Amino acid sequence: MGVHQAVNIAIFGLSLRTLNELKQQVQTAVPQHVQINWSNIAEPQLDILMINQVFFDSPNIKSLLQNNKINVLKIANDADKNSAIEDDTLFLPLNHLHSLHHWLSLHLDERLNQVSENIETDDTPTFHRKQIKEVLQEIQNPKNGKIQLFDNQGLLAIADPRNQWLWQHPEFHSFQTDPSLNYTYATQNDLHWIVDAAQQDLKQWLWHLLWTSMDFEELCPASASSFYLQVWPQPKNKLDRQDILRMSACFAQGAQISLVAQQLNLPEQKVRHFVAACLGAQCGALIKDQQAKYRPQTQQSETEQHFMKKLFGRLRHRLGF
Amino acid sequence: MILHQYKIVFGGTMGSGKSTAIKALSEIEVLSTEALNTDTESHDKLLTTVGIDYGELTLDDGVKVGLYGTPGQDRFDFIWAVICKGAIGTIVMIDHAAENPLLNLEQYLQAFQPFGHNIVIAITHIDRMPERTLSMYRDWLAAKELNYPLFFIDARQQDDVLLLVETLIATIEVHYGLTH
Repeated sequence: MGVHQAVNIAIFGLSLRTLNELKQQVQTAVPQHVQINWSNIAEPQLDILMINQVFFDSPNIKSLLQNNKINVLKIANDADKNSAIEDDTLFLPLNHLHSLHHWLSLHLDERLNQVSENIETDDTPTFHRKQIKEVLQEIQNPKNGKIQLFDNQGLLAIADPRNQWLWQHPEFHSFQTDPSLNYTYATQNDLHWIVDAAQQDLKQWLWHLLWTSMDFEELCPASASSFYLQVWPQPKNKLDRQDILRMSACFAQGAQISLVAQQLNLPEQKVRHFVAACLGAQCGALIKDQQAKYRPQTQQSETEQHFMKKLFGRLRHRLGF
Repeated sequence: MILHQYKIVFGGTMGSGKSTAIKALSEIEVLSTEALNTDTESHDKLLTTVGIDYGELTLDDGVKVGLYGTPGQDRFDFIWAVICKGAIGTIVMIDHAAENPLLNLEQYLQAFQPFGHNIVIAITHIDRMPERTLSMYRDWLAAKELNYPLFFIDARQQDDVLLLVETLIATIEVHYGLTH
């Protein structure tokens, strides 16, 4: 795929505030290698037009659309429709970006396919994979001030990537998300509730969110073989604490995923899920197999090993692990 | 005092919660050798540990595991070598609200690293200095190319202290292949 692909997008008939907000959201949905040229409706090579539904039937617009192949997204207000897109109409306010991202992925890929023969044809999933990585990077980008994290279920939290703090929204009870996870900049009006919320560590919170959620396995590519853990996740409850700590202890030395699964008697899928959460929360990095140092020591005799196993087993039992 | 064969060491700055953490785990009343704090420049805590704290855990087979808190003041650092010899691991506790917690962390890691690398870092009192970021500890470790487990805890919460001990155990189990 070319590095400098570009799309021309015009937004027409919206208030300045809505227009700016929409521009920001569109920017988050577009892969980094695609440049957006914000245009006006007179642009002869216009790819996408986002237009207030009120103006859609005006003669000038009709004429423009008749003579050009432009993808049109109409914008209307209907809070009950919860940011859905129906018949190429997006209903504001924007509480989540799932529909917008999906619509853009379909229409942008269609457009970019015409430009480059090399573009991937498996549009939505591929697009989303790139998207979620970028979103997670931006959530932790220290250049960002306070941002809102949300998914298609609603608001999750406010994050402060600059200082790595996070405040979880009081109504976010499920503590699970999906790849519709996204962010937008927070205004002073969005921040009033954080005064009463506990201030948490952003990295640890994000790791737990990815660990408890499904559908993020793709953050750990199938080709990934070895992983090095720089930042240990801090387990929250006893349920999976043992597995998390043992996996962390292995990967802190740099370890092969398959060896960890074998040594800890865990399904490889679970170990990959751990690595995916760590990669998403920037707790470590994939390494080459040659750099993986984890090899369990086996010099001790069977008696010694049996004795140590018993000792630590009893200690675990005594402490209720 | 009898030095136990199996022991876990709690080290760290004055007021970082070593004695509290040991109390959270010990099945016997913790013996603390506390005295009036004369080092008020470092901390305003009235009593501080000048000798060592110790508590105990007894396993099913009667084996005892000693929980040792090392002195909070540098002038007692000669005791550390005796305590740390043969320990399961060391928990370094750092008071987030101290004047220079990163300097404390550096000093305590330097002090304990010669006795073994099974070390867990516990940052306490994070609520007392909310304006100070937690990421500074991660950044500091990364700059030193260290990746010890680093947890933010409340030493009064038994479960938080248990997490630290379980981390030491998990590290040994993994190291010696005791996980099957």
